[in-house]
This record gives sequence, structure tokens and C-alpha cells, in this order.
Amino acid sequence: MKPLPRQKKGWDLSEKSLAGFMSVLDEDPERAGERYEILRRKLMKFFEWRGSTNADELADDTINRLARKIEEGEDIRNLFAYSSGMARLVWLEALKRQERARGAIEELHAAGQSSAETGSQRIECFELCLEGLPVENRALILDYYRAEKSSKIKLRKQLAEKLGTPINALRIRAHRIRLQLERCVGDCVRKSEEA
Amino acid sequence: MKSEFDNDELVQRFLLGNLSESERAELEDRFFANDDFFQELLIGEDDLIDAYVRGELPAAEGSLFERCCLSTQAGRERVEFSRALFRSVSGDDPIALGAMAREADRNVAHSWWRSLFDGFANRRPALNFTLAAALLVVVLGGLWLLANRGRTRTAREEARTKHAPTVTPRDSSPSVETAEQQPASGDENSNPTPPKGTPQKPVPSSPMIATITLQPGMVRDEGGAAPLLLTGRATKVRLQLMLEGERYRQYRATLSTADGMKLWGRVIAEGTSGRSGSLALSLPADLLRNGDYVLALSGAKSDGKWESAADYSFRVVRK
Repeated sequence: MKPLPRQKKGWDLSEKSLAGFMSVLDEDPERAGERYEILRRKLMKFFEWRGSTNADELADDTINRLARKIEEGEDIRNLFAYSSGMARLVWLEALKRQERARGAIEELHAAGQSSAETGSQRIECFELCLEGLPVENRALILDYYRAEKSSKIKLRKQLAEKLGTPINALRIRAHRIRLQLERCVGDCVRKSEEA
Repeated sequence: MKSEFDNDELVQRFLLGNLSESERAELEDRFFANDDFFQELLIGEDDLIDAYVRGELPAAEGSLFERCCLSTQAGRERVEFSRALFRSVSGDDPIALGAMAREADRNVAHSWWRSLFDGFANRRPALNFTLAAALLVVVLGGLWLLANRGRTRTAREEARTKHAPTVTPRDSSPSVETAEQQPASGDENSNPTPPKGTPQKPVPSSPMIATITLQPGMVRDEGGAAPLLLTGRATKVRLQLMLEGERYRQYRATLSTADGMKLWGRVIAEGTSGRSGSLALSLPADLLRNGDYVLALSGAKSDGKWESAADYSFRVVRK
């Protein structure tokens, strides 16, 4: 892939460029919206897994650049495949701007001490959010994560058999419930800190 | 999708930043192109965090994990979440038991704890501490067994009858989207801000904990009681009590209205607070109405007798 031009100053995601971007994702607007969310999530995890502290900003920057390329007439056959290359470029540029993870461990220790109070609040939020789950999901997530390393595989297979579902479907289901719970807890902690 | 554990080692090395740049890029291309593989990575990330929290990672991997995954706020929050999850699923955990005890507090008549405290006061001091500790263990153990049995039974009944899921009938109870409401492919954990015109998912509501830090001796004649603003959304109130003077290994907190009516009580050990030199207490928000309250803190002396440690005043203002 040839190097991309530097981002033009003052270039914003216009309605027209957004529409073009969405149409490349999918012709059906609803489906395009879903694909957009998947792409943005992948971009965020790409940057997060690379160690970025501002993954959401870099994901948005990448989407803006992709939209601009489409508006400029770039023939993109597979947007998702193209996105990984663009994300890598954005990351390399971001690396130049930031000193990455300097003192991260020291920061961790400091944060660990100062956030102990938040940790206690997080536990309370966790309990409240857990209560808010439908009983079936609550039972599933507690059973799924109860098993320890030595017995994990066996017990999870047993759980899948009990529920009459393939093990991979169970893993995905547990993961989704966990993420909903995680989101609820995050919101609760933030709201509680703001209060 | 590949079978459950095919990608475990690769996924772990990727997440720990333990791949060459070319291997990493290859794997990134793969997850961009393949939603199922992306899902594998997300689940692998959960497993890795859990293994770290449970101390199951070998030392080398543990160090890599701390470098890669704890250098961001998001990473640290995920680890904290995992800790909370495991505290909750391990039934003998003191924090989980404490939560059940707090839950039980809502249902316990005031006269019960009042008579309990009164009963202690009339016993021989040397027995007080032992009896209190023993009783606490019995009560918490019983509550845990009841809660756990009830939860499992209810879940089984719900699963068997396939009734619509129910939630604890409390107005302010948090709601969490069910997994079935999520999209089918790899975006189920996304929380993006889609551009204008893209469909938005409903944001799940979450509980809210109102927090106030209280200094001892906060009374009205010293410039007014500390105000605690409560909205209808608050489900719990967290009191952070700053400690001064002598420390005790055990405290008893008693909440009363300004006219002396006792509302709530709790025996707590120092160390339940995350902050040194303070104690944290949580109580149900619906216990508090507009008005002034006094929280009296007593400390257990070495002979088991309670003595007054501090008083804290605050005023509840409901919005």
C-alpha cells in the first residue's frame, strides 16, 4: 500500500463522506450501521492491544481517514482488510507523538493505591449489576466463572451439556453477559464518582 | 470457528505482546477479516485477565501481562472487574458475604439488631467479643447458604419453565441488557459512538452509589451538617468515615435520626476501607429521608467493651 498523504488540516467527516463510507460497509443502512460498530470495535481493540491509552480517538481518526480515502475516490474492495493497514499507519504516527507506556508499572502501583476506594465501590456496583441480570444469565455467569484452572475445561463442558448447547456457544454467551455486566459496572462507578 | 482451545497459545502470545511484528500484523489482518476469530480473541482476553487475577499465570507471563495490559486505565478496570467477579463467585469470600449481610439488613426489623446490641450490653464483657464474632459467622454463613440455594433453585426453575426473566423488584434496581439482545457477530461488546444516522442501541441503566466523606464531630453548631444530596436514582449510600485518635480493631456504627431514633447498625472491622485512616460503610439509600442524621461510632476495647470513638453528622437533601 502506498503511503497515505498527511491528514489535511481542517478536514472533517461530512455527511457526504460518511454516507459514502457507510455505503461501502453495506448497501443496507441498518446492516451498514452494524458493520460500522463492528469495525469501530475492532479498531479500538487493535489500538488497545497495541498499548494505546487513547484507543477510541485513534479508532475515530482511522475511520475519518478511511472515509476521506473513499471520498477521494480510492477503490476499496474490502474495507475491513484495508482498515488494518490504515490502523497500523495511524498507530505508527501516534507512536511518534507519544512516549509509550513510560513508567506504566510505577503508575500502576500508584493507581492501585489511590483506586482502592473505587475498588470497593466497584464491588458494590458489581453486586448491584449482578442483581439486575435476568436470573438465568446470572446463574450462567456465576457457574461459568466459578471453575478454577484445573477443572475449568471439564466443568464448562458439563455446563454446556446441561444447558444443551455447544461449548463454543456457551463461551460466547458467557462472554456477552460478562461484557454487559462490565459495562453496567463501569457506568455505575462513573456515576457514583460523579455524584 | 475453530475449536475451543486451538488458538489458545497464539491468542495468549498475541495479547501479551509476545509475537514478532510480522506475526502480529498477520494476526491483526486475520481478526479484521474474520469476526469469529475476533470473538476468539475477546474471549481469550477474558481468560487471560481471569488467569492473572487468580494467580494462574506463570511469573514470566504475569510480568508480560502487567506490562501490556495494566498500562492503561481500561486494562486496569477490566482487571478490577475480574476481581469483583471472582469475589462474587467464590462463596467464602468475606466481601461477598458482607454484601449479603448488607442485603439482609434491608429486611431485618430494627428491633432485631437493637435487641441484639442491648443483649450484648447486658452480658459479661469478656464474652461480648467472642459471642459477637461467633454470631456474625453463623448469621453470615446462614445467609450465604440461603441466598445461594435460593439463587440456584430460582435459576433452575426459570430455565425449566422458560418464563420471562425477572429482576429483583426494586425501582432503582440496575438493568443489564440480556446477551440475546446483542448482535450476532463480533461487535457484541462494542460501545461506540456511531456517527449521525447510524442505529443506536439502548444504553443499559446502572445503579448509583452516593458517596459522602465525613469528618468526626461534624455537627450543626460548627457550620452545619455535611449535606448529602440524594436523587431518586441512588440505590446505596456510601459513608466514608475519617478516623481520628485511637484506633480499634473493631467498630460498631449506629445511625440515628436527629431526634435519637435508631435506624441502622453495623459491626465492622478496620480494614474494610480502601483508604487508610477511614472506614467505609454502605447502607440502602431508601433508608434515608430529608433530615439530619447522626452516625455514632464505637470502638471495641481490648477487653471487649465498646466505647465511643466518634460522632458524625450529616443532612440528607433529596432532590
